[in-house]
Parts: sequence; structure tokens; C-alpha cells
Amino acid sequence: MDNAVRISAAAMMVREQQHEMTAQNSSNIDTDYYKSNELFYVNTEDDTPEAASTTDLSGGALRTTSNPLDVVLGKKYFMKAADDEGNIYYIKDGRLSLNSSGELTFNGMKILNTSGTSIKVQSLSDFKITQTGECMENNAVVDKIDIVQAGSQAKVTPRADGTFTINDAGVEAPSGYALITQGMREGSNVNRVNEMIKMVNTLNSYESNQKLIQANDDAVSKAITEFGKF
Amino acid sequence: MRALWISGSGMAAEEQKLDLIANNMANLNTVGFKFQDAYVQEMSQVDDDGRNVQVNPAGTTVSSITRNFTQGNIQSTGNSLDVAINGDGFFEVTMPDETTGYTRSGQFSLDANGTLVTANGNKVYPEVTVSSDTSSVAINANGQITATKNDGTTQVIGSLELAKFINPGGLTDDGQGVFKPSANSGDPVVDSPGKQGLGTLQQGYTEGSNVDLASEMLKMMLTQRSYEMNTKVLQTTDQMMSLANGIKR
Repeated sequence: MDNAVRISAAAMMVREQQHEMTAQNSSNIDTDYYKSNELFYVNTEDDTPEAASTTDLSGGALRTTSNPLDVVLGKKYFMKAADDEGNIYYIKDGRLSLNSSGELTFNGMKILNTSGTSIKVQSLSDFKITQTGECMENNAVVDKIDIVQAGSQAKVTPRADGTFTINDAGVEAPSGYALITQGMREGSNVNRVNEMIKMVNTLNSYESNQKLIQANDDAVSKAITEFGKF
Repeated sequence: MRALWISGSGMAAEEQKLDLIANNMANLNTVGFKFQDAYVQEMSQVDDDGRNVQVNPAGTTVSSITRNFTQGNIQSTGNSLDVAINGDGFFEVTMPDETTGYTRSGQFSLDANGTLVTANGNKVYPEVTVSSDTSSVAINANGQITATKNDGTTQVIGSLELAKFINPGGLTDDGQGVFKPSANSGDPVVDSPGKQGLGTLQQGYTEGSNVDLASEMLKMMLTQRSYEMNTKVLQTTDQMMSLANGIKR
């Protein structure tokens, strides 16, 4: 009996965690470049389930902003960026900006060119980025963004600041156009219907597990009262 | 339950976005106004034990508010002291505290001494004074100001300069359409209009705001629906908490 209660209680806690992820996706339904996460459970050696998450890297809806520093990359493509300490991160968030020295940055991290240094922009009014990541000013190629693709061996891990890390074996040279669209932004890829359905399912499952605990409680109290009668 | 705070953060972010939309729409007809947008980021903490990765949700946040400096529509006013910038750059103005401010709003007028001032009464830099015996003032595309006297003679009385920044998004807002440089904006590059990629001037015109009513309306609808979705999550969380309490009858 005790075991049945424990199982139902564990199921309720799992549903709570899944609901948190739904809340996260829902609160970011309007966050540009947000990639939705899904929670799943893996069995560990000692048979206790452990939570893990996967990030859906597919694209969201595109919208025009006419800002030359807004770019969108294809699903498997990433731009390379470096923080002040020189650590390399991969980014899909195309809300780029310039710093006070005119370098292309994302959240303070410098976007790297194919030689591994920062990219300087002289004037934004005629700044263009081509589909392969070449940066053009006055219709002449001046630099090239280092774009990589996540290959079949890739393990793409999200980081808290919206960047990603990719294992070395998974980083490949882009096989085609990186599909950079300039002057556009990508919305979040959260699917409203999916999240609502998940929420309904979560609530139903939560409720049935609650009922199971109550039924168990009923059975126990019945056992106590009925068996006591002669 | 954490979900409560997560959807709460989503609702707070939507409210902040709605504030910006309201401000943009209120300034639909403000000369030289540049619309603002919320820069929204997810908040989370990521556990990676080498085998499994788990994103621990923490909601969303408006991490900064960005201003979009795209060109507004140039509108004819027929007023000879209205000047629009066509292209990149800001007019320089001397603020009451003697610092330099930067503005796109070129609705100039003359003060009691005949000095060129902005609509807020701040002097345009470099200072230009129009004497009382002037019948008309002409400002050309490169900023040169020529006065025609009552007796028909003409005289160059000064010229307007423009300043540009490598990262105008980093300028700080000083209110009333005036911006101040910051560590993020870089130093101003000052020259005559038309030089070094600076825009040119158009006398008798003003630059309207760059607010797009249709896109603000769309943003408003999205904001409302996103807010609604967060409230649904909140309701569900509440129901779950009630169910948890209901275990013990």
C-alpha cells in the first residue's frame, strides 16, 4: 500500500516539473530567438528517474525589422563568438549590436570572423551580410563571419545566457548556405497548441494521481474500520 | 511551485512591453521620435553533469530597452526654420548645464536675441544668430546658413553641423528627444552634413516619428495573447496546488 502512495506522489512531482517547463515555454512565447525546451526522464543505474531536458533548435516565425544587425540562421547553423576571456560559444540569437569601437557583438561577446578575430563595421548604412556570412560595405566584401554547422556527431548544449556549446567532434564547416537573412528576426519556436495540450495532460495526470492517493487512503481506512468489526 | 513565479515573470515582461507600445503610439506624431523595443531574454540555469543536460526554468525578463534609429518620414511644413536630417546624424545642442546633447528634432526657432534654438529652447551648436534686419534665412543641404537682409544683400551667418555615433543604440535618453553619449555609444564624429556618411539637411521639412502604427497594433495583440497564456498557466498551477492540498480530506 505504502508503495502505491509513493509511486503516485512521485508521479505528481514529475508532473509539477513538467508544468514548470510549460510555464517557461509559455512565458517565453514572445521572446525572440527562444528555443523551447522539453523535459524527459532517464533511468539511472539505481532505477530512480532523473530529469533531463532537450532543446528544440528549429526556427520560429520570421518578421522584418529592417535593422541590418538582425540576422536569422538556418536550423543547424551557429555563429562563433568569444567572451572577454577568449572562451568560444556558439550563438543562434541574431540580435547583434555594435560596441563603442564598432565591433559586431552579441550580449557583449564579440562575433568572430574566419581568422578568429572580431569584425569591425565602419558604417551601418551600407552594411550587408550575405547568405554565406560575408560582411560587405560599399558592395565590397570586407570580412566573413565564422559560421559553423552542427554535424551528426554534435552534442549541442544550451547555456543560461542564450548561447550554446558544441562538442569539438560536432563542429563542421557549413555544407551549404547558412541561410542568413539580414534585416529579419526570428520569433520563439514555442508552439501554443502543444503547450496548452501538455498543460491539460499534466493537470489530468496530476489529478488522477491525487485520486489514486485518496483511493488508497479510503482502502486503508476501510480495512481498519471493517476488519475491526465482528 | 516555481511555475507560479515563472508565469509571473512572463506577465511582468508583457506589461513592460505594453508600456513601450503605449509610449510609441502616443508619440506617433512627435517630430524626430524614435521608437523603443524591449529586448527580452529567457532566464534559466543549466545543469550539465556530462551525461544529461537539464534546463532549470526561471522565466523571462526584459533585459534592456533598445531604441530603433531608422529614418522617419520627411514631411513638408513650409517653415524655413524646420530642418530634417535625411540620413545618419544628430543636431548638436547646448543643454542648460552647458553639456552637449544630440537630437533629431529639427524644429528650430529664434529666441529673443535672434539665436537659433530647438523647440525645447536649447541653443543649437555651433551658435547661429540671425540679426533683426533679416528678411529670410536659407539653409542648404550641407548646413550652410545664408541670411537675406531687408536691403537685399546676402550673407553667410553660420553653418549647422551633424554628429554621428558608431552605436547610436548605446546613447542614453535625456528626455524630450535629446540623447547623451555613453560608454556604449562611442564618441561623436562631427562634420558638415553630407560628409563622412552623415545625412544631408532639408529646409522646410521635419522628420516624423519612425513609429509604424500597424506593427505596434500587431505587437499589442501578441502581447495581450501572451499575457493571456501566462494567466492560463497560472490558473493551472493554482489548480495543481489546490489538488495537492486536497490529498488530505
